[in-house]
Amino acid sequence: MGNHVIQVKNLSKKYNNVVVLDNISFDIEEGNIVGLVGPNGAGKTTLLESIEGLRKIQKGTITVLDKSVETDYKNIQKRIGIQLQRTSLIGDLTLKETLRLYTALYRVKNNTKELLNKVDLAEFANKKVKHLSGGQYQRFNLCLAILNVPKILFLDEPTTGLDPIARKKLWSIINELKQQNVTILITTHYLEEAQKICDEIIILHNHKIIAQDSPENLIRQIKNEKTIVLDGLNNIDENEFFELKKQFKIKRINGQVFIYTYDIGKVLNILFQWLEKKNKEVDNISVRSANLEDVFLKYTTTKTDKEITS
Amino acid sequence: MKNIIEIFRVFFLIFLRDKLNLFFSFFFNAFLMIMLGLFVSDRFDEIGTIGVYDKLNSEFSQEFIKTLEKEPTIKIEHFTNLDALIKKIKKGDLVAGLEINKSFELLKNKTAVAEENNPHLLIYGNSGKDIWLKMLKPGLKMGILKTNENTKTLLKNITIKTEMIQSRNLDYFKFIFPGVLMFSIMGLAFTGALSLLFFRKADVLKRLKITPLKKYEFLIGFSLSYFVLLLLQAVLYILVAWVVFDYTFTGNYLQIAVLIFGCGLLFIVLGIAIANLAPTVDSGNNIVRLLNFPASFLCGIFIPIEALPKSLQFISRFHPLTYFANAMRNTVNYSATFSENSTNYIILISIFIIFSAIAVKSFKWEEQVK
Repeated sequence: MGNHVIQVKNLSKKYNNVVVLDNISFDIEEGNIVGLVGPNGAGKTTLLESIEGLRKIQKGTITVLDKSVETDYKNIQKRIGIQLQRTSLIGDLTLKETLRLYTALYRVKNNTKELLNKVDLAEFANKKVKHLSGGQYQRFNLCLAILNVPKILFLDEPTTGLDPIARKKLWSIINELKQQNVTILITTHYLEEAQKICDEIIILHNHKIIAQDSPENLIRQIKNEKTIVLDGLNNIDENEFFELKKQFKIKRINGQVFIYTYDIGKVLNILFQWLEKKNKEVDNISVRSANLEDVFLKYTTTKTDKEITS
Repeated sequence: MKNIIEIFRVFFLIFLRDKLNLFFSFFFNAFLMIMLGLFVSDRFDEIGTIGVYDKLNSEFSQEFIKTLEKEPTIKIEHFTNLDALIKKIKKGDLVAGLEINKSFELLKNKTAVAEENNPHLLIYGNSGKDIWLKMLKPGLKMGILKTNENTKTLLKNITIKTEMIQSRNLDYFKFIFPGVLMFSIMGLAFTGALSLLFFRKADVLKRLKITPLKKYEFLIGFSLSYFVLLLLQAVLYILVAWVVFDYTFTGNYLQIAVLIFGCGLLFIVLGIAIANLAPTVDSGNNIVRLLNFPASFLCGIFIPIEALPKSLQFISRFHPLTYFANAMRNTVNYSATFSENSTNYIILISIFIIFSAIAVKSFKWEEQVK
């Protein structure tokens, strides 16, 4: 068992009497990358910002690098790196000037070129921040988050809104940081990428932790289950969907229909008969093993999404 | 200290890079000041000073000048050379000037007038006070007639020529300059407040919050950047006044410096307090507009407070700019001492202490800290 660099115990929080974090407890080991996943509004950012010291702690305790966030925040702050979900840099400053500002604030000595090289932005050193593309902007934000050589890095949805190439580039930088034994706590909606890179996944739902384990162990829980994915089955109405719901464990998300089963042959047989009877067509049918997305959907949609049958 | 310098440097740089902001904060008011100083007449003078250069210095001219001096609406100032008279018109101290020349003596002799090639009297008019010229022409004739009724027929043969002198209307300029200076300082300080609101809204401050930067370091660095900017603005305005209007301060330089520094500090602090308390950028904008726009006519910047209706005079007491404009005008134009301005200082220091406390206490990095 390694050294726990983050310890959260019984953390609860309310805004205007509405629960946003409900008795959250977990530990994070040094050098691990931990993915914090959950539907929008589950409390991911509030949890992350509470650990970062940006939110008041109402109930429970948070310890980062063996220091209490409540009482020793200034000491922690120098040793952590943060990339906020919604933040803005001063657009009229160049990358070089921005780095100079933040380097001075952290009182560290840095080589601007080296730092920008780490995030492939060296050639834009004299470009104004407002002229960066979305991917460059996020990479530069990451560059600022690591300029103080942090022990722990907090990344709040760093890849949201980026195109696949920009996303891939950012994930590869995060992977490099992992090699340097930096502990990373990251929130993301890209589960496929989280599955590849994270040592541990925490699933937050309805303001509670509902699952916490390595991606492999989480997937193993539903390992014998297969997923049938139907693309292009858009022309079915609510009644027809309800007919399917009565027969299968099924979900409909963004135009795709997912059917979960341990008996593929039986389900496909019934499904084809139903499609023929209803004179429906699908663009594509595929069958795959369970992945983190399935785990996520299993845990997060059972209680709230009435469209989904568990 | 390093953090303060960095914050100062960054916000100073950002301001200078915003060309539009730079124009409106630095040059627009200077332009307005020049326009008003050059073209607005001082039409409120009840008594105008007329310069007289008695080149002739005859018995008749002396009598004529005595007649003019009896006029209740004018005051006569004597000059021994024409250059001095013209210089004073240029400065705006005289509404007009009169040169009494050889033609004046001719008024006593019909033959001499007829023989003279170009008999004329010369009035030098102040371009900014041309209304006086319209009164002066008939007034001059009346004065000559009063001096000697026999000149009635001769007067028709002599033309009254006028030469306009471009003046700087220093009287009005003297009035507006101290107020405009204070008004512009206030405007720039409020620009800083609005930028603070904007940076908070855009989460720029939140990004700074997660660094080891302390609240007081940020506030000092930020205030310092706008403080230096508004000092530069004040220097620019003083230079403009000096170059264009030949205007120089007559009061205590230490007190003038204290007033400029104090005005800058107070409005920066007031601006930060507004930026902290305003819930949105729009509401902050409106509060600043509420303080900024009426100040130009309420606080004695372009119109004397005494000329306002009583109700508005009462309202003007609630605006700190009124006290700065008063104190500055008293100092630069009437050489008031610190003790003579003490009432203004007591009120201003009280406002400064209250708003400093509010600005520091209410400062927040984020719009809503949960």
